[in-house]
Amino acid sequence: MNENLSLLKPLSPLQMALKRLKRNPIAVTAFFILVALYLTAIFADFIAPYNYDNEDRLRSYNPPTRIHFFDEKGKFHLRPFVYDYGFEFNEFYRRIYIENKAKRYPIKLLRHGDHYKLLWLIPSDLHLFGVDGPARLYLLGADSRGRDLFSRILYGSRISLSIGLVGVAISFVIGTMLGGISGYFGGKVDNIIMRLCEMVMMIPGFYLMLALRAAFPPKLSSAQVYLLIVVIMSFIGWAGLARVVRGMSMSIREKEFVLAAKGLGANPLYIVSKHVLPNTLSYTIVALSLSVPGYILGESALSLLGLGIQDPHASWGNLLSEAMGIAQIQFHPWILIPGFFIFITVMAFNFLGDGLRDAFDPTMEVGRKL
Amino acid sequence: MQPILEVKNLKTEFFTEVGVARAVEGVSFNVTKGETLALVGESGCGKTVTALSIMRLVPSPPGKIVAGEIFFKGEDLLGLPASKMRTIRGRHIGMIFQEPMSSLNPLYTIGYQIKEALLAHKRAKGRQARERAIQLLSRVEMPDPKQRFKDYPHSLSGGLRQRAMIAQAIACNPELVIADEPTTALDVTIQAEILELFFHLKKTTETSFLLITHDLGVVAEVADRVCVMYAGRIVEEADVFTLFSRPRHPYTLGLLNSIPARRQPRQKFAAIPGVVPDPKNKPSGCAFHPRCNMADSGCQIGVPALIEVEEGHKVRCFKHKKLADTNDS
Repeated sequence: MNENLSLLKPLSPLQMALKRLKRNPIAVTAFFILVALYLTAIFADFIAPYNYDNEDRLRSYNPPTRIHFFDEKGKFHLRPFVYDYGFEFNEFYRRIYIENKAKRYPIKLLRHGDHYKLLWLIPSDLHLFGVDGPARLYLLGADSRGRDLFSRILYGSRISLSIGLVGVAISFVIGTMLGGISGYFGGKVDNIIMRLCEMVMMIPGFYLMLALRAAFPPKLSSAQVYLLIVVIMSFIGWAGLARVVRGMSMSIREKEFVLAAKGLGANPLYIVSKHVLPNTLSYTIVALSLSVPGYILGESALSLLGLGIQDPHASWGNLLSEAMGIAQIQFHPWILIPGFFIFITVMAFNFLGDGLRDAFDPTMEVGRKL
Repeated sequence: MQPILEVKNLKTEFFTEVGVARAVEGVSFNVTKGETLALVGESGCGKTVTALSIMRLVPSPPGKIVAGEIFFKGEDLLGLPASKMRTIRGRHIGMIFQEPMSSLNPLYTIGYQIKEALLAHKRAKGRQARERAIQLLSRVEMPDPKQRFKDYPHSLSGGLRQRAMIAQAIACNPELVIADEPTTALDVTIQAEILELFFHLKKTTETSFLLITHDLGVVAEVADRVCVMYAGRIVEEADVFTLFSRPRHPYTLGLLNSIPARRQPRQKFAAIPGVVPDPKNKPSGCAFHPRCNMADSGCQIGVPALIEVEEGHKVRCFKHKKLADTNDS
């Protein structure tokens, strides 16, 4: 009965596409992975056991802490615990970390630790989990300054994940507006906008990014650098989108419903924004979800080269910059883990984009049960 | 009576890469208040371009109105600035397009698109616009208008979409509605329903209609007067009874003869031989002479003038007297 009722409800083309998307298990999985990643980014300071700049230089490159259920005597403990680590030097003066099994440090849920502001508003010092000092919990190991890599990855995800969305949002606005105007009006306007596009696209993206970054003073606060990177990347990114949207607008403006809208006395800007651009959405949504990885990788690349987010602030790119030497990877392989997060995110966006493309494909409309 | 629409010597040309297409070559006609004028002709004879010229919606480039005047309520539309023209479109002249399948935006509900017409001319706002739109839908005899208001075009049949298009066109109570082949894309039973609706609207409002069609059946059904167009020119103009009983142009006669008759089975279909000339390369003289069975060498030389053979009946043919003699005897 309920099924029948829902069939009667009129669905917009967008709703139908989403319905088709829900039938694609890979895209749905990708979507939920992304939701999980973004949620952890938002609540990073609560989930992370330490702040991004909480360092302990005596624990430089502490390997991932082992979590135990059985103590020395083989006795089972329901609450998992860790040992404090001490180190000694080997013959090459490399630190070798050894568990000090004298005292157990149980892992505590909702432990009071570093101070932060939840959602940038509510002051708090509560963390999802952690251990009491002097032991430290390094789920994914420590970096050169003894900061918790896991915490830093969570903090870094805030920058790496948001930069994609913000960048895409900016280039979406610029790209569709200019592309729509260019395609709909044609003529001189089209010429000017398209030559502008080509000028941006002419220069290889990464060099343009470097050049633009170099044009600004090197000493900027992290927030400023963040903004700068977003602006630079969307400045490069809008051109490709504008070109395609222009092409689509050129074909949509010949559609009868545009003529009908003109016949109703609608003005040109209204027609572009209400009739032409919404009909390009099926493409732009796909293009955007597929271009998010570009922004994430772009930021990572800039930060990796030391031109992006600066220490002590974390982003996935500058976390990876520690892994630039072969010796680092050889002795502390865990510092490659941020790369794994980049990989997962980029894959998820690509799968989601692919799923969206299938869902919006008009040729899929026929012969598929809703 | 003062005509509501006066088209005088309209010439619209398309400047293409392969030559100039003279789609409309000096068309003149009037539409008076409450009247339905049908513009009839084969595909490619310039009917639609004439309609688009009146709305000033000829795609430009390549199209251009090169000469003529179009007076709407005494105002020359061709001289108006674009912004003024926009207030005429939809508000004073409504247009119904040929393809009900593609003339509605697939992304918006029927109701929204009718509301759009009202909002564009500030005829109604918010809830009032919604009520007015539902009222319009019931006026075009849309079944279950409240439900259809929320429907998207893809869930409606061609006939219902055409009704929605008509509702959109008459939303602001325009003085003139231009209907460009409103029934061509529909199947016969739906055609009859839509014509019925036109007939009803014609009777209940004072709106004038300019009906563009190639279907003489439609013309006989709803038109008051008829202009027959051929190759960009009006070749015959008369009221609908005169035209059907006493055609004076061989082309009109050919069109009338080519209506398949129901009562005479197994008779060869009387088609007019040949095809409509290419507007970029029209024959000299009377454009119809290569297809005309009455043509002689004189027809190839000069373009015949549109002459009045009886009151309100104009013909553009050298041979109209001969035609009158052979047909009436």
